[in-house]
Amino acid sequence: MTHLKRRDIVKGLLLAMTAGVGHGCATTKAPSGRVVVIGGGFAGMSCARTLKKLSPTVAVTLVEPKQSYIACPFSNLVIGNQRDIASQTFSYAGAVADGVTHIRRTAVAIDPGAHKVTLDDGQSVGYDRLVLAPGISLDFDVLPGYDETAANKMPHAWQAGAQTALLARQLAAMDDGGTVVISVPENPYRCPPGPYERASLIANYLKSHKPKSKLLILDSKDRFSKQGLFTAAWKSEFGDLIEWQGLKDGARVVSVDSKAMTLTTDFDVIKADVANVIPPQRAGEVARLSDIANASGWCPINAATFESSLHADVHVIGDAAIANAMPKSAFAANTQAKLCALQIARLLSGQTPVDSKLINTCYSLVTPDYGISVAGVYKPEGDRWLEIEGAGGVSPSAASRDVRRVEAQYARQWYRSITQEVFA
Amino acid sequence: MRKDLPGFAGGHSTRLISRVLAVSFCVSCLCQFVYADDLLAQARANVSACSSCHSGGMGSGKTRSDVMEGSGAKTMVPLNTLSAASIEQSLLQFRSGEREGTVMNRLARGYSKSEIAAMAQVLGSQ
Repeated sequence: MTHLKRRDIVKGLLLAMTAGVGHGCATTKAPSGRVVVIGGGFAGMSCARTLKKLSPTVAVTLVEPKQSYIACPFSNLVIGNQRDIASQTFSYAGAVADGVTHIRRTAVAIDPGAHKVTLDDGQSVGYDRLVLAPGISLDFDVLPGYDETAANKMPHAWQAGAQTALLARQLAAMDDGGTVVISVPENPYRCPPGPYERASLIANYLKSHKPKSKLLILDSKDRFSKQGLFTAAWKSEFGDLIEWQGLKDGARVVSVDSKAMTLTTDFDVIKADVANVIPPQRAGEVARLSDIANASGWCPINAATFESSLHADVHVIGDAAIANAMPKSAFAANTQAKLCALQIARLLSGQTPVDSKLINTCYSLVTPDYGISVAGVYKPEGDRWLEIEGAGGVSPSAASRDVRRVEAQYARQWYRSITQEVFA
Repeated sequence: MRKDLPGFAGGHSTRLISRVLAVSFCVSCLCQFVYADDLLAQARANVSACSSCHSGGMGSGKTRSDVMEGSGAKTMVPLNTLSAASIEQSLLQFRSGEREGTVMNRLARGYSKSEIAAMAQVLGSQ
């Protein structure tokens, strides 16, 4: 027997075993390359900063026109007169200190073939991998009568900032005995329990400041997040101040008239003193203009890596992505972003993506001292994020006031923790 | 056949088999190592979500002994104050329902015991 033959046998054995084990024995190298992140919300900021920390040799650029970010979580407390909008506002300085380059421009086009992003000043930025975190855009084409002008009279307040402050001012100016109407779209939309937390915190304000007033929720669906918990809490905390009507009640809003301050449903025309119209939504503008969103208006992805199923080297995270069982929440955006950064760091250094679960927790405040939550654990399978059965779920329906108070405290701690991690 | 594989019949056979065994032992060690490395990478990825609530700044004056009181602690514990063993124990107790919680009991049920052990190792060494 020759040495050559022995070597062949040994080599064959080695190959068979490594192939049989199926682990990526690919050589690793120091990650390098250019990563561009579009969007500076919970998803984009988390991803840019995590990636820079994991792979300091990677050039990370954040494309975000705003100088500061106004957070949506807890903005319902601003509307409910419990919190200042300033405490919702965060700067991008932390990312810059980490070594992320912040370009204060709007991305207007993406060329996935040429690996290039075009900015609103005509300049372009090249990338090896792109992370798209544009959040939502409000769909002003769907609900007749509701456009950007109408939103100045009937605020959506679904992107925090001037709209949040406007809705808070309208509630403060309303006479006691007025009617507040909240219109809620079909799924999917940003922050599934958000409209009901908002109704709660507005009712909490009305109860002590304008107790003769009413709050009417006109919903385009028949079931909603934490429904049993909200419904029980509304009864115990606010009596019959809040009335909820769903699709079966004919409550779907089909058009609005911002001059007459009326909302037309399948069944009725309702006059409002303050109208909060939460319109249908879709992925941020740049995702749709560049065909990274599909016909649904949202962006399909390969679950484990968040890579677009339509374009290579483009990852989509946060509200814009179709993450199936995972809700469009700041918590989900943050955890998706950290995992996406880890996957990109591995891919840039020649490693295979890692198999990881993700979690989400959404707290809602019914009053400042009454918190409820929903949690979930998720696993990737192909193009889907699936909820792990047996895990997750909502707060118990029968719980003491102490438990509700503790969950309200946890909600505040969560807000401090996540905003510190993402923006500090 | 024998002509093609003379080593298996002749005097070289013992040496060859022992060499193959030695190599396969090394390969299996290597693969154990790679496998452990994958588990570690997976655990690192799994724990990346924890800091959304349990980032270091969330201590709010709570000490480790407050935390060790168990379910009496009403704060989101900064995990860098805990050992791997205590994190693993807490998560397993949340998972089994032995320890009451608000959210952690719901989340811990989404992980296997071995995933929890690996995650605790990563968190405890941070």
